[in-house]
Amino acid sequence: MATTARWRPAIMLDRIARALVEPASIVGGIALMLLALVVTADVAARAAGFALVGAAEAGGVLLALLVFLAIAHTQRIRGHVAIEALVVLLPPTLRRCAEAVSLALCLAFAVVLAVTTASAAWHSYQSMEFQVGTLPFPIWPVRSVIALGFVLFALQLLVHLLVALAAAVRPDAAGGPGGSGEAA
Amino acid sequence: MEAHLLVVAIFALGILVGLPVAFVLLIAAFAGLVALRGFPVAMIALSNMPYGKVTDLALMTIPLFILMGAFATQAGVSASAYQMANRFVGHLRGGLGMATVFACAAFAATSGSSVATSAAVGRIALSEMRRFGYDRSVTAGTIASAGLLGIMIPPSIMLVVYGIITQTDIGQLLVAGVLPGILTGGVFCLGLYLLARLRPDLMPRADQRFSWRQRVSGLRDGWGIAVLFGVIVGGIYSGLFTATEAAAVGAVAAFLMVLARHGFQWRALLSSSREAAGSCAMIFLILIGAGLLSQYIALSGLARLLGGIVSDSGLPAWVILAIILAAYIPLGMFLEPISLCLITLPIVFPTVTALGYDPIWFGIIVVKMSELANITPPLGVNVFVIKAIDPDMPITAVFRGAGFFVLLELVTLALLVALPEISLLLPQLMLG
Repeated sequence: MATTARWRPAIMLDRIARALVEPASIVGGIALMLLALVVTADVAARAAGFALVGAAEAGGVLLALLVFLAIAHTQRIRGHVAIEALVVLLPPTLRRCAEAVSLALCLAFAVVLAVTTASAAWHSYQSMEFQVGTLPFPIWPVRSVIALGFVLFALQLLVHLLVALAAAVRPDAAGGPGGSGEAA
Repeated sequence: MEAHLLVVAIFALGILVGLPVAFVLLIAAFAGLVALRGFPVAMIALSNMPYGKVTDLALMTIPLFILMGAFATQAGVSASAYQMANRFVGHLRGGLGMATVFACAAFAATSGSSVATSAAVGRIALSEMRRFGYDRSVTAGTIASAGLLGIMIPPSIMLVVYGIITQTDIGQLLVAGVLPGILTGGVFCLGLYLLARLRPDLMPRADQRFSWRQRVSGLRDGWGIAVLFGVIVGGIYSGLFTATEAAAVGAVAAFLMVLARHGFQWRALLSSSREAAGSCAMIFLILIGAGLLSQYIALSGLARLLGGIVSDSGLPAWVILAIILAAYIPLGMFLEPISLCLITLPIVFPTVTALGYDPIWFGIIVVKMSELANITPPLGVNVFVIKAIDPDMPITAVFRGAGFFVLLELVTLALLVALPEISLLLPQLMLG
């Protein structure tokens, strides 16, 4: 681990986040390979003169899995694109503060996203909402994956925020603001 | 008006603290919607947007093209492309630079990303150009700029994103990218040749010769590129596949190429796929933010208002187009290409099409402007790829080298604007 904010809560939380975020992203990667196979199988079936019932619906589920289960991993490796043209011009102390503010804003909004998408998933389950298509397909599994993705994303953002706060408060205990952000 | 000010203020704050682009869009659009229609409406829009994006089947094209590029890289397509190109043009004046352009064009036919193209070809090209004493700055600028072909030549992620945002036919857009991509490569090669004639010290002639037998036999290395390009462009052009289906079949074909070259290596395959899923996650989060911003713009009537101002201005259409394109240059200095398109298109696209410009042609022009964004300071993403490949390379040297290609890009842009047929010929033939 490149950056070490030796602050026990951050270390503990990072272990939990890693145990959840990494397997989720592996499922996302598998879903992407399956998506390619499902769409290709659909093309082959059409060429052979029959329709692969449920391929479009399966594609929707796989797309949700690959995107939302990988969102937290992308944050873990700091892969979400940011406009840092001004931040890099700030002195180190202010830069650490800007990073903490940025992460706090992201975390707050990720929590809003997690709550609102989880609520939508719950309503969808309660009302047994179905998608109209070749197969009547329940909507709540896809909505649940979206909500789970945002929960994991919020968790990872919390870990990064704790690291950033530790770096801002005790620069000597942290590896600096430019590191990978991993907590242990 | 207050809502617009709030949105602009949040954009400014986001840039100030270095917020991820997706969150800048999400928070600004959400705040704008709250100001316009109240909290409950904004919450409903926010809760439904992620679901709306994953059920849009056209969006499946993006992860599948990214996966295809990841597998093609793993199959060693970039090395084959460079060796193939080097045998044909490597001995000419500026030949190794031209070989880099040709290799990037060939690799671009398997990858939709300019960053991936620069990174894949860059490692091999950098060592070869160094070996024959090419100027550092020219070497770095050539690799960073030749990678731009990755976002024009199909499969292009940028054109897919443009098609989704503007509801333009993605198949036609991808086919439209072929000739402008070839034109860009041609202008780059011509520019390198002229530079080599004027300043031979920058690009010494490489002391290497290949017989025609060696060149022709080297073409066999390019079979993978030919297969993937044939599946995508051939499949879409002939009407055999939709863009999404072509992407899926291309990904499976690239997967089979990996199997043929390296056997079944589960960990490596999963690693490529996981990395591709991570890239998709980043793009989709931005798309969700852009979707919410589009809703805000639609509800606020901003696009209509700007359209009215433009039509009342009495300026000729070409002047308005020139102003819009000029605005893309400074914006591109601070925004990466996908964000640049997603932020500007909801406002700019209705105005441009209302002026009578073709949406397919404008897509090509927007992608060309995005290419410039990738090599201009301070945030030229491709420039940082070269820095990552060669950490000893001064960033100023890369930007200096890329500056020459910015001029060549402007020449290409002028040709594409003056002759829309270059972009529209193939889509028109496709429609019959």
